[in-house]
Amino acid sequence: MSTETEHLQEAHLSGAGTLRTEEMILNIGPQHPATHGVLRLVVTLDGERVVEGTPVVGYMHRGHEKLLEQRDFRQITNLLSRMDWLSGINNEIPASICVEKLMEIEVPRRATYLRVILAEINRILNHLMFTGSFGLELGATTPVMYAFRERELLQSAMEMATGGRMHFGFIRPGGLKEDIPKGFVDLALKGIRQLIKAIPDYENLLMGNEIFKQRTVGVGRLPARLALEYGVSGPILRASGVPYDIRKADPYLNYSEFDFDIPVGDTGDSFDRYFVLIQEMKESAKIVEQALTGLPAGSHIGVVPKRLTLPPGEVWSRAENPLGELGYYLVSDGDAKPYRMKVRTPSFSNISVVPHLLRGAYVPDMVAILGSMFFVVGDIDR
Amino acid sequence: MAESEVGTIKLPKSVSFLLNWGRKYSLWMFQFGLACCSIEFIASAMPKHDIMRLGVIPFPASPRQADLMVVAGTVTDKMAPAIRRVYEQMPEPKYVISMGSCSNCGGPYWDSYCVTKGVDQIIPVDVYVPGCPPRPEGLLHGIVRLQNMIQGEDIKEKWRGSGATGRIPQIIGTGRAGGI
Amino acid sequence: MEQRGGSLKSSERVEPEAYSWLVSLKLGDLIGQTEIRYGQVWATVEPARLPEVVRILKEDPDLDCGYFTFLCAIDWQDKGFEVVVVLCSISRGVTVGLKVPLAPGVTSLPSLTGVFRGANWHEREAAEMFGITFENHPNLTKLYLAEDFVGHPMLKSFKLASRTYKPWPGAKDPGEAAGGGRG
Repeated sequence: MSTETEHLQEAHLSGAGTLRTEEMILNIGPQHPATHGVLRLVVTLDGERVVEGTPVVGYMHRGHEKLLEQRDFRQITNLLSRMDWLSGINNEIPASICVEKLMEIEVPRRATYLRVILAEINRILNHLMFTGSFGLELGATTPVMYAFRERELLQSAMEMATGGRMHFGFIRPGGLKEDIPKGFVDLALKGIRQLIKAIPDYENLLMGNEIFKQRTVGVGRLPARLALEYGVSGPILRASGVPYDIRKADPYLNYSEFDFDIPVGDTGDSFDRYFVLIQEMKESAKIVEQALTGLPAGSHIGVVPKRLTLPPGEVWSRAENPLGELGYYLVSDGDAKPYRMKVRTPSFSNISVVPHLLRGAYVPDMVAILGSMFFVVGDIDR
Repeated sequence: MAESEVGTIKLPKSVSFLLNWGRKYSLWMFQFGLACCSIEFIASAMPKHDIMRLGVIPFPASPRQADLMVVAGTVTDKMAPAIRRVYEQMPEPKYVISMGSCSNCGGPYWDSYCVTKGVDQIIPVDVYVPGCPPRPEGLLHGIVRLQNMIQGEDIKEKWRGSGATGRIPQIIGTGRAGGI
Repeated sequence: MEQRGGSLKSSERVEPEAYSWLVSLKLGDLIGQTEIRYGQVWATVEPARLPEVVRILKEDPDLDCGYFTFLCAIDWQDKGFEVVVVLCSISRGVTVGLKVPLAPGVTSLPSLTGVFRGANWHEREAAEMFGITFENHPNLTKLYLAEDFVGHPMLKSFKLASRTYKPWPGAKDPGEAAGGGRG
């Protein structure tokens, strides 16, 4: 063997850097099969490891906040559910609560119960979607088929009540647009019971799978203090060990009357986030069952003036959206239209912490981390 | 054969029928799911509505292997160049379905400062599916209408013109603009 | 993995009135009068004092506002801008809101990224939408808008092109004549 070959062999065996490496900047998206929507990532790679990853947002920026100033309080409901498009009813509820606080409108008990039922069914629909899509991004095509089977049944229940499958426009200041039809309670209960029977399937299919565990346990660990600093909320915050749920901490509607738990994770890695998602579905199903069986009689809307003109004032009202803390800061100057309506969306804060998670991760882990961050691009970009 | 000869070849009717039949029942659909409509799009690919029974196979890996592009969702000014680039990467013959009111005409964002009012401002569209969001059955209806269009297509015309001559975009639900 | 019922130890939670008193005590003359609106503690702060106030709110163990909710700006036209910062104390169960009025013509104030890293994106958005500059911000580039976008969209002086052609027709109730009502 020549001395040159011997030298190369020696260098290779000792792992010394005879290899000269350069960092590469890779652009992922905005259109990409693995990213969830039009989120663009610019990552600097050193071989297979990510040195730095920055999300570039704004590809779905539609200017909601400016548009909300051009419409009156009945017309804004049309736009509100199109930001986080998977949780239609949950987006409309804090906006109505803002108006009800400013105008001091009282909401009847039946309307509150119905709002809770619709909101929790929507939460289940949202979580089912992410249950399916997380598996799809990691290469598993079965969970998404199962998830949509459950979604279809609950969506037909929502459609029976509200007329829409995804964007409902059903919440009005003071209550609901109209009362639920006969048969809604039965159909919703049927959907919930089917879901409860199917949840062990979701648990075993992915969480019991060795490959899934290898890809997600220990990957994308989010420490709790970092999460709080960035304003991360929702299942992601709870997976990092912080037991903060606005339905318990700062109850709105009548969540304080229902009996449910808050699932909390340990380490804040991708596996914990998925675990929290599945457990939350169980808790939401509990709430829906309690509310459906205890639904009081009454009116579906309170006493609301025909023309909604808010008194001048400012109000900040928030709710626990399926993805996190959604809030509206409403500034009113006495007109029929809002003067300024700031929308605080959960995914905006959740995604701003992604650069910390991507640092030092491998390229395939990047997909697992993004898939577990449970964001909706319309929510980031508004 | 040379490209200039394509326009002069006389295809027997049975051959052109066969080619069109093959092309319409094996559409590879490139999903450009941008916003809320993409959720209904995914729902149409799921077992309940099952777009695969029409021969449409969703989710190919890249635009270079796709025949059909479904633009589902709002087209923003920042995203528009990317859409154009993706459309240009698709090989001919290619078809575009615009799904949802945002990509038809701007939709609820008709007065926004950063939304392109309709994807037909950037790329030519064959079928418009209205709705906000359209039901999965609406998208299926759009695909069936597109398949009828393809069946009645003259491939020579498509090659000769840039696609603009003889192309009459179809709007679902109106029964107008040719086709069945 | 565990399931825990409830959220916080109730002995740690503080009523908004008591919290508001603590805030006035700790911050003294750094803030204006505190008030309680809808169960939340609100105070006015001068722009130059904002980072100091937020730092005390975050690091003081009794106040413990470790959660950054949001930062936004409001365009009051002739009266200048106003920046609103909302923090939350998870352990105490109180939301704290700070209103920072800027004098007419003033378009800059110190950045909060030194105290809360999460303020980064919020400030970038306020900067591109209103034209406000945040001093000492590490990367005040455009977040949402395309690179070649001209103007600051959220200013009241930025008129939407489509709306100048077709203005808001006013509140139309069923039964009212079309085009009537207030514009």
